Amino acid sequence: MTAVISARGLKRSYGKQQALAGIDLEIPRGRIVGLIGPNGAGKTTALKAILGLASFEGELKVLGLDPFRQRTELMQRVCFIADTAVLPRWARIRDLVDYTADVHPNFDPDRCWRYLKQTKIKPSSKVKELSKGMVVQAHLALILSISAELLVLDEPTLGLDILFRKRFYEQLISDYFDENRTILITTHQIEEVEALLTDLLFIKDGRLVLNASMDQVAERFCELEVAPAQLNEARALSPIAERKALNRHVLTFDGVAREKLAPLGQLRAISVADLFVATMGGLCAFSEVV
Amino acid sequence: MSTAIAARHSLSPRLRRYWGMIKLEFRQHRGGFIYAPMIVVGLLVLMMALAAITGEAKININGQDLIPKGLAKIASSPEFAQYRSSVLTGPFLAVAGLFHLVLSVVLVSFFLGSLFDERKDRSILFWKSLPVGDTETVLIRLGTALLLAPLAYLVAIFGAYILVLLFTSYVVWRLDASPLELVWSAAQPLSLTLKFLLIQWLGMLWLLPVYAWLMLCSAFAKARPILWAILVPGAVYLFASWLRWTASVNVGIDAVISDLGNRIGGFVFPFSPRYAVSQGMDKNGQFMPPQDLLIGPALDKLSEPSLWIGVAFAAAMIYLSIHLRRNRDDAL
Repeated sequence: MTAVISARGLKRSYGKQQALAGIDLEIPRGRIVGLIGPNGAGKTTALKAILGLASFEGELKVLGLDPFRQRTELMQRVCFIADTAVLPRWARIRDLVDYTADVHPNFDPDRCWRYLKQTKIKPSSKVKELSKGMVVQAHLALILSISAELLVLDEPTLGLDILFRKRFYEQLISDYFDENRTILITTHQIEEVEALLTDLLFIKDGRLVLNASMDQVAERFCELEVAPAQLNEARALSPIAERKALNRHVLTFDGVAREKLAPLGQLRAISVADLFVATMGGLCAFSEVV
Repeated sequence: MSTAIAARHSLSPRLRRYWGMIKLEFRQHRGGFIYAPMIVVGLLVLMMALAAITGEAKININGQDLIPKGLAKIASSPEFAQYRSSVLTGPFLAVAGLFHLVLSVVLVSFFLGSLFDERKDRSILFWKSLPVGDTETVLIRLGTALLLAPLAYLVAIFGAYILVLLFTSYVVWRLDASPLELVWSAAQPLSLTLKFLLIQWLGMLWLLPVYAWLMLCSAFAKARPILWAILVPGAVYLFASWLRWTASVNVGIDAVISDLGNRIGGFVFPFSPRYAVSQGMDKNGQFMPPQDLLIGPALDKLSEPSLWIGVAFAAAMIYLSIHLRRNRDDAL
């Protein structure tokens, strides 16, 4: 089976500013990929290219289609949510469900109404009368009722309370996801999606600085808590980042054998959030390790 | 699979999509496309009711015959029979013209928002997440406004005209004449209404460059499309005038302005003297019912090159609007 997304030398500039500086990427079917990067790193530009909303240079195929030239065709098989609530304010929920059912061959209105029944949203509610969180709920209900091969979620849970966020991610996994579907998700709330991701992409200054499966991440990266006495010895093994917690130092390593590290302190797995900080912030010189 | 079945399979989701898109346009613009004509009907009813009441009052107060019964006698005479339907066309044109004027105002506001509002409230990101193309979207919006909105108004025009005929019948009855003979056997509400639709559609063709320009401004502007729509032609006119006065270079702007004036004057107000409605004669000096005078010149104009030059300009502006909607990504 061909890759869901495959990119070679994907570039895009706005005037002199280069938003994407050449990205190579291959995402197979049945993965849940987190695309994570600081503001202005090129996340949105990459998603726009993948969704056919903007032109690009280089080679990019999504489900075997050119996303910009074959956008309409692509949208039958792909659905997406942009970062904030963007449902038209004048519309009633009923209008939007009707419309989506008319234009989308893979939309299941019954399923959508089932999702909406779990919320306080009524069919006759106008979007402009709903709170921002409710608009996001309505949007999620619409999008999750489309059976798409690729689902792109750009900050999908912005403005939702923790209860709904938890339920949304649970539903995403139990109801929506299967081996034929791929989900690409960007978010700043890394902790909440960490458990569901199968793959991790870090983007910085328009480049991918990490492209690995979660298994690979667990294998390659680790954190070492070092006492001051062993600090110099540990630093000699080229950590990619270092931070101080109370009077101990925490060093992050990439691809260093655990047998070498174990005698120097306490080894532990690294969370995605800490890995993100280690890769993006801290020691900038080490950020281009991949 | 046979080609017929294949065709049906590929056609039917497409038709359903277009139907959904049209329904949505009517829902979004229910104010302009549905409520506005209903309100105009309501106002007409109110005016006629007031006229009926005050008319009665005048008769009562003065104690004499203010509406001359002699008029009814003339109208009932056999010599007048051939003019009855023409006389009844007058009120129709007044009613239809009123609705057409309201529709024109609604369309200006529709087109100024047509590709702008969705960018302003960012809902374009939702529309674009569905498998609907930019070309389809723009053309459906154009078609809904120029071909289907007049249909909605048509229902209102027909209803309003029936009400006018009922009111006329009441007046005729008060004058002791026969409404059946004077009004209902002479009036042609259905044929008038359908003829009017044809005239409206022909008028839309003449006004297409104007509406397409508004749409282009709507696709292009970052804020306030109406300012672009007015200021750009204004600046061009000033520049051309300046060229003429200072360098004696004539770029023919006056011809363009007068052509625009003719289009707007002739088709937003379709009952201007251009159509010789007031004269009531055809070119041989024969009496002609006004509805025929209306439709004849409108059809004649199909062979005028300036109509098709305007349509070509409109097509270019529509193409540009589609291109802009497709390529702009400043909403995300």
